[in-house]
Amino acid sequence: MKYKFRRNGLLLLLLFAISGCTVQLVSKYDSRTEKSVLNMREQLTGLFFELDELAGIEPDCRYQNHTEAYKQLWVEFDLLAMRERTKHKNKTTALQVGVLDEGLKKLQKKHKKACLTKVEIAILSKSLSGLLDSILRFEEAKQRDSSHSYN
Amino acid sequence: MTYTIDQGDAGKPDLETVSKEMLVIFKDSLGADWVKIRPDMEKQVMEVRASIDYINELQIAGELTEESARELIEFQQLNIKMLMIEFGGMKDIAIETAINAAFKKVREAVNRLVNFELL
Repeated sequence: MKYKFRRNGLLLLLLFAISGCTVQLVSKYDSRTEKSVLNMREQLTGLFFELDELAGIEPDCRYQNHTEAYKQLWVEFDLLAMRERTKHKNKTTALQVGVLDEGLKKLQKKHKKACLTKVEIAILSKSLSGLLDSILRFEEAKQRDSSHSYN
Repeated sequence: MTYTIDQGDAGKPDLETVSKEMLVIFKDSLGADWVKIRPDMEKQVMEVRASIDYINELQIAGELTEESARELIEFQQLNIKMLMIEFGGMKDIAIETAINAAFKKVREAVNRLVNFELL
């Protein structure tokens, strides 16, 4: 009985192989995702650089004086989010984009409350860059060629 | 990585041999990907841990308020969450690679069995 099940399973596997199809569990690499993430990274670096220079300088450091930079970030984010959520077998990247959404909202909320200090900016910059890097690393891993490194 | 399929009698692989080879390929493929993934993931997790320690030190030194430290720790939690999602995705890619490598070997074995390019 056990042998029969095993044999049937193997035959099923053989049928799959014979059909010539390949299994796809994760969506294909998309250079647009990489570009969007890099754009956002550039915008964030610009914002943090500006905030670092203005740290402690009232009222220049206040959120109200940087709304344009946030607006640009959200426009780029919305494009990325819309594209990733509609892709087939793209669960991981869609979840990653959700985490990035949380991170950006937290940053905006914190900045709205008060000007950011240099120490806070350094930590926030590293954290948000880390979120973007993770999306980028996974997108690059989707290329699946033998020469690709996960690092 | 290269794989070899043992040739049975008359130089043709049977179903049992092919299945065993498939399992070996599957295990080998996953192992190879884990080896690639693990060091990078460990490095990322250690970085987040270091950031949490740094935030605690700053709060003790009075450079961060309790509220700010708590908010910054929340960001580190997001970083950990992101790494866990990435880790899960990497596993999916590793499994996909292993399955397709096994299928490829079956196709090759069947082609050898019939002595011409059937698949």
